[in-house]
Amino acid sequence: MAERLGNNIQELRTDRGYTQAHLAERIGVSRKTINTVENSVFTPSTTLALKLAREFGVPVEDLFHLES
Amino acid sequence: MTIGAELVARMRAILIILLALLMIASQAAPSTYANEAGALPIIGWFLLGVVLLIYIHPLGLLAWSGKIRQGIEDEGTAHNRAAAYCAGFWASLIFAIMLFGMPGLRDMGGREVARIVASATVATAAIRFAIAELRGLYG
Repeated sequence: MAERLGNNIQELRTDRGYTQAHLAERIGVSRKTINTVENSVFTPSTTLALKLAREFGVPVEDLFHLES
Repeated sequence: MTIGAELVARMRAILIILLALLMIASQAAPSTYANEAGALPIIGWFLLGVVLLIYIHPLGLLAWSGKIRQGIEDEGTAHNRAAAYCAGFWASLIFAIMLFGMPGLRDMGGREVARIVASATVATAAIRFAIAELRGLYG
């Protein structure tokens, strides 16, 4: 069974009042990348996943999860 | 991504699609085949292909400032580029097999076959890249 990488980025981002553009600027990527990661179109690298986790101050496991 | 970078990324993707469609359309025009009329159409086709490849490649952003380049060129774009090259590879293989197997095309010259395969490869990669970029930009 194929597993898909889900994430809570949108909830965490809106909780903090960030737009996609703000978040992108804070971690040094494009808004397009944030958008595609949020929508599970693009699976981010470990580096980007760790940057996102650090930005939100949560473990990476709280940010991403596997969906069947 | 700054507003300027996003605008450049969007314009680039739209321009790539238009140029790729022009490249596909040029294949249907008989005047673009190599013939006694001269080599100019071939040069036009060649330049169009080179321009498309440059637009897909990070080199295509060299004309822009470092800040704009940084706002466009990240791992999402690199992923889209890798997927585009992969799509180009499959298009190349499929077209090569189709041209090899079509009985009516046995008399087609090597240059024409090469041109069709190259056009299919470049146009497929370009369109795949541009659509992925636009999909990311518009969500």
